[in-house]
Amino acid sequence: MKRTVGSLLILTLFITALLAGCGGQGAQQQGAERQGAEQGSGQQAAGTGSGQEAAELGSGQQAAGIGAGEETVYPVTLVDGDGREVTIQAEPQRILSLGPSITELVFAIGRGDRLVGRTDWCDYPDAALDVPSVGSLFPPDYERILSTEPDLVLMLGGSLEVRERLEQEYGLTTFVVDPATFEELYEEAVALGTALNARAAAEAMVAEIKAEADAISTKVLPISYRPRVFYQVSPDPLYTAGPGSFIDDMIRIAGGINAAADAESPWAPYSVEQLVAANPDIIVTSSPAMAEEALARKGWESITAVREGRVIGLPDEDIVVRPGPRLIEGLRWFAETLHPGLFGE
Amino acid sequence: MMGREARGRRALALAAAALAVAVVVAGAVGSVRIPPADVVKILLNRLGAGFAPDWPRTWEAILWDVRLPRVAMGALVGMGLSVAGAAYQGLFRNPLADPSVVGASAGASLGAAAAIAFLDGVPLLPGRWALGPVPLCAFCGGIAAVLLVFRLASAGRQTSTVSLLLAGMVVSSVASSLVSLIMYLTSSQARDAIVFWLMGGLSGANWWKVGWLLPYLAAGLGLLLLQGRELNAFLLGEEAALSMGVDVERLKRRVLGAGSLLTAAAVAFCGIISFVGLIVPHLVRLIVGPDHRWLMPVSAVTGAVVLVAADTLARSLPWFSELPVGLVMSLTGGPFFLFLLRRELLPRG
Repeated sequence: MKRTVGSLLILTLFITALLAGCGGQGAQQQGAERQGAEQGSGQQAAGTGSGQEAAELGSGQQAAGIGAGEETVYPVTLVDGDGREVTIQAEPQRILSLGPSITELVFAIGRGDRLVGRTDWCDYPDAALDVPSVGSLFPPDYERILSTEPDLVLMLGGSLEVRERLEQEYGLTTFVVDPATFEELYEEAVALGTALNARAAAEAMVAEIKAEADAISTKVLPISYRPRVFYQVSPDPLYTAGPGSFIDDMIRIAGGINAAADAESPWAPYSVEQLVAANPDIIVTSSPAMAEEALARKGWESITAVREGRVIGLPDEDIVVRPGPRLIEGLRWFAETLHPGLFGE
Repeated sequence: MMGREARGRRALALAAAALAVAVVVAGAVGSVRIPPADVVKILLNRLGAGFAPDWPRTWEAILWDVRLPRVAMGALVGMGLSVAGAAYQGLFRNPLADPSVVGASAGASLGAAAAIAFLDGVPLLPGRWALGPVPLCAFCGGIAAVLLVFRLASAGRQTSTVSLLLAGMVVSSVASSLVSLIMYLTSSQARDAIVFWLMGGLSGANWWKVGWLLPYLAAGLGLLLLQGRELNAFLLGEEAALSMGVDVERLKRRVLGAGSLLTAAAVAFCGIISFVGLIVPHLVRLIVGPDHRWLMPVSAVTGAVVLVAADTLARSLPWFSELPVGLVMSLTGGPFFLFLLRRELLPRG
């Protein structure tokens, strides 16, 4: 009796493995064919990014698997924010978002109703709070992640270990969305939209952000005044936003110069001596309270921004640090702060 | 009056039962609660039983993919460290001996720290069996340190246990200074990773790592368990053991070799986990007596129970999402050891 059960079990396993093998192969072939057939429409989508960056990211393939209309045809193979090709077998119905910016993006393109999980940090929009949280991710709680039964896990870059574990040990599909510049935001938002079968909504969102960003940069173009802006990420130790960060991007688009252009990385330590030498016209801090504190700080008295009282706190730090749809609010804020005469309320 | 044999057998059965309970409790506890009855059913189903699955499908994934590899890893590591501790305490005739006395832990720390600081993320094998440089370097560091200690303590064909202890202490302290040096020189990110490794944790466990650990553990454990009779003779002193026909030098080499294999392999995957190897043998000795033929196997199973229990505690304390098990072990183990010391090991009066 026992032996019969055992052999049956083995037989079943064998057949399942066989079927799974065939299925996988078939799907792969299908995907490859589709990719070949629709390279054309792929290139069209690549036109949205700047030529160079799009080519680098290989976003020609991003749109592979898209039919003539806006509907995504599954399985679809897309290049994610890590530059990796990810094949999504079927339209995701149970989405787990592991980043606040990603949660905002998913809601912005109208797929918030398919979220089955979020992190403790995902607090925008309000509807996100109704989605059950899987914790803080420090450290990741794999039990809660698995219990949401996601068919697609959206995550930020930089956690390779977590990603490998989710994929290799738990067999989940992961897709990274973590843009560092506006151009990347446009590309990755469209890729995300395609993955979630909401490409039209993603393109509309991108078009809106782009239009406003273009309007701002056009408006500051004839102005010769370019204030030198220093963004204070944290006061002690002093950290700033260097080249490669969204904040650096925003300062430039809004008609300013990043006073910390010599910083070594997007989030870089900066010495007070460097800051005094850079002598910015405006200092932006992450909150109004931080701005007041910075104005009174010993040793900063000689800085132009401090002397002229132009140390300004952001109303909400999230609009500049979360690489999501609200970045446009951050850009608008920077434009109004840097050129109040031009964008006055 | 119960015979030594009967007492040992009963203790072993009791420890095995405790291990079964610990595994079920560890399977039930976590951020997703699974009723113990369902844990048992899911486990038995894997072994071929045919319970109708009236539980959510995710429970099986959580139990099988997340919790059980961790429980298995904890059990194996607890087993290895406890048996190594028991054998060392016998070999050195010193109640303070634990698996780290001859340098295996400190050497492994140095290997791990160097790997974290200098060899970032180079997988050594493709796919799921991929082994990062950290466990490999930790293992090699542990073994290398013990070889060095053995070499330093040997004069000709003879190795005195006192020299072994001294050399072990010196090599360990030099190795930990080198770890400090690496931490001082490296990036703050690597420093964090090293500190975390040194605290010892089971959170990275998976079935493939368990698979890596298993052969080393089986070899070390098997070899040590075979030395029971000779270790007993050793308790009367080296001279007495010699006169009873024990090849003491061979015994030292075997015990140190097997013990280091166990310690280095355990530490390689989990980081430093202290106190298990010190406390468990003492606890078991109180119950089964000093006979190594029973002390070592009962210590093995008890060590598994203790570490599985400590890890369950580590991931279910309500104020933290998770603590490193090494930390929990030293936080609870230290006071417990003091209690034991005052109650049983000090003469009453």
